[in-house]
Amino acid sequence: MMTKINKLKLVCILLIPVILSACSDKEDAADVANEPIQQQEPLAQTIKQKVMETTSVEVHLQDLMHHVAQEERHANKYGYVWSVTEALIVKGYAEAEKGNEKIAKQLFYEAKLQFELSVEQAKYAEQNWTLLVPEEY
Amino acid sequence: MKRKTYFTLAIAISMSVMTPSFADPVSDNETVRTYFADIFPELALESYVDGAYAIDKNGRDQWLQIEEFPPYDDAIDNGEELFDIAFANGKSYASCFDNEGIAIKQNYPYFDTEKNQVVTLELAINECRIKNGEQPLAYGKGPLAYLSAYMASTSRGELINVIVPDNAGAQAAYEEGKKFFYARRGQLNMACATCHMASAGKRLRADILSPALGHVSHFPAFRAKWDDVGTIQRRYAGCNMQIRSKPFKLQSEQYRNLEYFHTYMSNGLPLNGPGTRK
Repeated sequence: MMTKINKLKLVCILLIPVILSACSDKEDAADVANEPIQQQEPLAQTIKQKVMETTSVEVHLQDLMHHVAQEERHANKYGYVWSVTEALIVKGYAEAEKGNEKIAKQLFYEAKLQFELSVEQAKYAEQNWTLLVPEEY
Repeated sequence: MKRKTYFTLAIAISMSVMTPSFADPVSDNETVRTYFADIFPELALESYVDGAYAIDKNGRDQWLQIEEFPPYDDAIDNGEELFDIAFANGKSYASCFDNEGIAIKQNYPYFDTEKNQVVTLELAINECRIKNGEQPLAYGKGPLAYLSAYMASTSRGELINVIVPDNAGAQAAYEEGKKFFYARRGQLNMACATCHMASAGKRLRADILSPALGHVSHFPAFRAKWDDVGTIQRRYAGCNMQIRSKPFKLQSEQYRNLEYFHTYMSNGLPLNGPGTRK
């Protein structure tokens, strides 16, 4: 009886890594890659849609600028910031100075989303950067 | 006793399955070389120092004609002149380097175990200036690139010999460089490896993508686009911009680690810099 329990324990311990490996990001990445292309929404379209949705919500421009600055500090820590984001912020400030609040808000929202996406990219890269490493021969 | 043995065995097997296996630098190099040998079976290892011109016949013909009157010659001459000028304290660059700075580029970058950081040739040049009471030079182009070009020219034919010592800091720096090379970044979501490993030899618009192996041998390089000589890290920043990723500062820890990994990859290949590129 005792031996049976010990063997059961041994099998359980050996199964742990197999169970855990089923949760790995590599598998998730492979699943995403196998999805039909039609199901993946183009990134540019998603950003545009999100910007349009979020700009319809009443937010004070100054608050938005503050949020973008916070998001920028956060994104900078990951080191994956996109080169195109800063131009949006510069344009946003220029539009705000001209009094074009709506355009300024759209630009700041887009910048905020890009910062968020760069953080997502960094987190993904942290887990999956080995996917491009050639396999050992 | 038997129970304890079973338990130890089970834990050992579990750990071996779960621990991510990081290849060591030597086997990384073997893997990369075998990978490229599969893609370009007819290309000799030494030919990789010619970059894309080793695999693009038309491009090579044009490049060889350019090399008849090398556009980087002025940079080498300027570099030599700067190298020989004494600092205000009477010392010169030669006093800071082994072999008085001649034929030493093959040993750079190296890992300084005291400072716990990767030291590139350009960083060492500026450290030399600071040590002798001079202002550091701007990285990437201009006088610093000329000095580096001159020092590279004295090292032509030397075999790249970058060492990753058995030291936790050095291993971490190498691993960080490797991660940078293979991680996707920027709005275009591309890694260095996307172009220079996975797509090496394929066309990107009118150009053929060069293999990562041998990249570092010909830097600092004269690029037609720059109309001047620039360092490898200037090229890193340019590549990052092309994939719409915010570049890091030249000689930042990230780029130094990348250069460490990138140069180690070409260990054993002869230096042939400065070279000419598009």
